[in-house]
Amino acid sequence: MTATNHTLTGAVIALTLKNPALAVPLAFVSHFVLDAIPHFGVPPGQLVLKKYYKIVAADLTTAALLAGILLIMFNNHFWLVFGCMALSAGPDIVWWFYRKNLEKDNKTGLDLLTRFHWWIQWKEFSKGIYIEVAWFIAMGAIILNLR
Amino acid sequence: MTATNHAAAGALIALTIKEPGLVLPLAFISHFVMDALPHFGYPGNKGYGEALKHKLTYSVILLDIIGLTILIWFVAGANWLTYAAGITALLPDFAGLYNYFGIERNKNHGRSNSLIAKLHKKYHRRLEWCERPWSLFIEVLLATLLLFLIHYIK
Repeated sequence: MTATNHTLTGAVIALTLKNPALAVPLAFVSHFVLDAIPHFGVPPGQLVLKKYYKIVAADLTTAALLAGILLIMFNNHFWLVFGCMALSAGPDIVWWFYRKNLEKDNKTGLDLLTRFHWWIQWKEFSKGIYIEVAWFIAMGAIILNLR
Repeated sequence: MTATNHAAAGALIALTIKEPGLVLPLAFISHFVMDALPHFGYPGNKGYGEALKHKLTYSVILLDIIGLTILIWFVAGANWLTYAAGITALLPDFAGLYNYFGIERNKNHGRSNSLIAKLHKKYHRRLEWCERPWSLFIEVLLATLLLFLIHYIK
C-alpha cells in the first residue's frame, strides 16, 4: 500500500488504543495486514524505478505532510502517534535496498522478513488505486471522528 | 475466515469509533480486509464445497461456536451498535452460504447468474487468495488478539 495509507493507519491505531505497549507492535503488524489487501502498485519484474519514482515521491510527500498535520492536531500524543506512523510505514524502507530484486523479480538474498513481506503482497495492480482511495477516506473519517 | 474473527473485528470497530454512520460501513469493509489475510480453508478457491469434505473443518466449526460464545460473553452489556457491527461484519459470508446451499449443493444453476452469486465469485472468493489448513494458527492468533483488545477497550 502507499506510504500515505500506512501512515494514516498507524495514526488511527495510536489514537484509538492510546497505549504504547499495544499500539506500537500493532502498528508494525498493520503494515503487513494492509499489504495483504489488493492495492496499487506494479508487480515485481514489471517495476522500473526510473519511471515509478515520481509516484513514490508524490506518495512520500503526501505522507510526510499528513504526518506533520496529524502531529500538530494530536500533539498531546505526539510520540505515540509519531512512533506508530513510523513503524506502520517503515517496513517499506527495505525495498530501497532490495530495489534490484524487485526490478528483476529475483528473491535471492532476501532476509526472512522481506520474503514474507514480498509474499504477502499477492496483488498489486493499477486499479488498486481505487482501493487506496477508499482506505484513505475511511482512515481520514476515523481520524476526524477521533479529533 | 471464521465467524468469530469477523464478528470480533466488527465489535472492536464499534467499541473504538462509536459513530454509527462510520461504524457500520467500516464493519462491512472489515470483512473483506480480514478475508485478504491468510486464513483457514483449503486451496482451490472452491469455498464451502471443498472445506466441508475435510474432518478438520468440523473441528474448526466447533471452535468457532466456542469463540462466538466467548465473544458474546465479552461484549455482554454493550450498546446495540456493537452487536449490529458484529453482525454487519459477518454479512458477506451469508452470500457464501447462499452460494453453497442455494446453488452449488442443490445444483440449482439457474440461480448462478444472480447478482449475489456473481459478486461473491468475482470479488469475495477471489480475495481469499491464501486459504490453507495451516492458517488456522493465524485465526487463533487473531481471535486471541481481537478478544483481548475488546476486553481491554470495553
